[in-house]
Amino acid sequence: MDNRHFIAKKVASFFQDGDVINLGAGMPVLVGDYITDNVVIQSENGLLGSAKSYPGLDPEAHYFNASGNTVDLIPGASVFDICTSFGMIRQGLVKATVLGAFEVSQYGDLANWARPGSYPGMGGAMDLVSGIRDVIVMTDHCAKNGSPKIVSECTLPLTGRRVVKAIVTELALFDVSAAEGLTLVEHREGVSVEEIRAKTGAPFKVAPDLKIM
Amino acid sequence: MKSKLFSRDEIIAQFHDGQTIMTGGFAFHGLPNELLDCVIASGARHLTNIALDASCARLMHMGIFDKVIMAHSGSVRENLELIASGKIEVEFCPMGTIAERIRAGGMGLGGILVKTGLGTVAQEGKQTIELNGQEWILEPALRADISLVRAATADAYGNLTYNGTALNSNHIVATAGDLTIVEADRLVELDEIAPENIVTPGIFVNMILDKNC
Repeated sequence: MDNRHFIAKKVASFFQDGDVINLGAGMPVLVGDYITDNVVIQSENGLLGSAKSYPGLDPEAHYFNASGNTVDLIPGASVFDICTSFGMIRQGLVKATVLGAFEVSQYGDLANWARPGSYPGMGGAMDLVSGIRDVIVMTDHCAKNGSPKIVSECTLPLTGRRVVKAIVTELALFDVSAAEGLTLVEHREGVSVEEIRAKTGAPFKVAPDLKIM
Repeated sequence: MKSKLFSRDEIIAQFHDGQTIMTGGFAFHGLPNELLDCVIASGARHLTNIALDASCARLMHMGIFDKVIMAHSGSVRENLELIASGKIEVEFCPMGTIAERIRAGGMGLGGILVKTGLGTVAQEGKQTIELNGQEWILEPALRADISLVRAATADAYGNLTYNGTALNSNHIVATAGDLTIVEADRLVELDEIAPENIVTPGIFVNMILDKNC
């Protein structure tokens, strides 16, 4: 299993039957491959109850997710306008959102929408982290140049302040507390705490009952 | 009921330099593509586009828009380069917020109060208000000189329905234009859409593209 699927499977294990979750564009979409049948996927463009997504763009299709991909619907699914969609997000009816990150800080600040010279825009990410209680970041532990993505303070424009509750990477699972900072709760088999410290740009505590991912 | 069907040429004559054009659709789905062709054919320049994302990228790249107000650029390299070059002015607004600003414009409201973006650049330059012991950002309503809408079905009065997730922003955009122009996949008789199934009442619609002339 490649790292992306390894992370996605771990994130999917957080969810229970009946949960409604929102999956961000890119890697978070993979989480949909590992959730149980009774976890419902909300897509912020206006869809509750999407099944698998297909990367192809079928011009005859009627249903698309927020990444613009064709999706199937599950029985009981509904389609609605964009205001209704963000209404359920702001009310906290969507339990969790899974998002990627450029940077995430030890106290849960998230930066995932703008980098120097590249401004894709925040899309719905600011609304999601503002309205949804469980914000889960799934990301490669380090950027492509090897620099840590988990940092003491974000340097990039923020998506939200003190919003992230958990970070899942190919090496580690951290709990994030806005007051207490990071706690390493799981590590990947064969990866030492020392290696994780070397690749993490912020201090963290180690849970007394540290587990294998 | 008086017919609102108009020819392509009559619609093209509505577009003028400097107008604000609001467009429905998201992630290249549910776009009023034939009406966008009319904008191009009109030769109008220095337009401002209000939309959820950069789905009108082809007009962006033709230099028709001086400014775009949107939530996301679609992460398309050409769009990112155009924005970074400064040749087009972009105002990013969180997606749930821009949606509600459009809805407020259509519903005759002056603006909305949101928490989304507190503590981020989305708050910069904006008034905040304390209400019921909580801090809110005041976001003004958005309207446009012309709204362009893609419907699944339209009758001659402009009663509209939408296809799948193309509902998205098309309904709210239809309500927020001083002049609202619609293209429909199918034109139907006045009594063909059951009244309770009409999503956008025709009172919001001024012109419907008659594809036969």
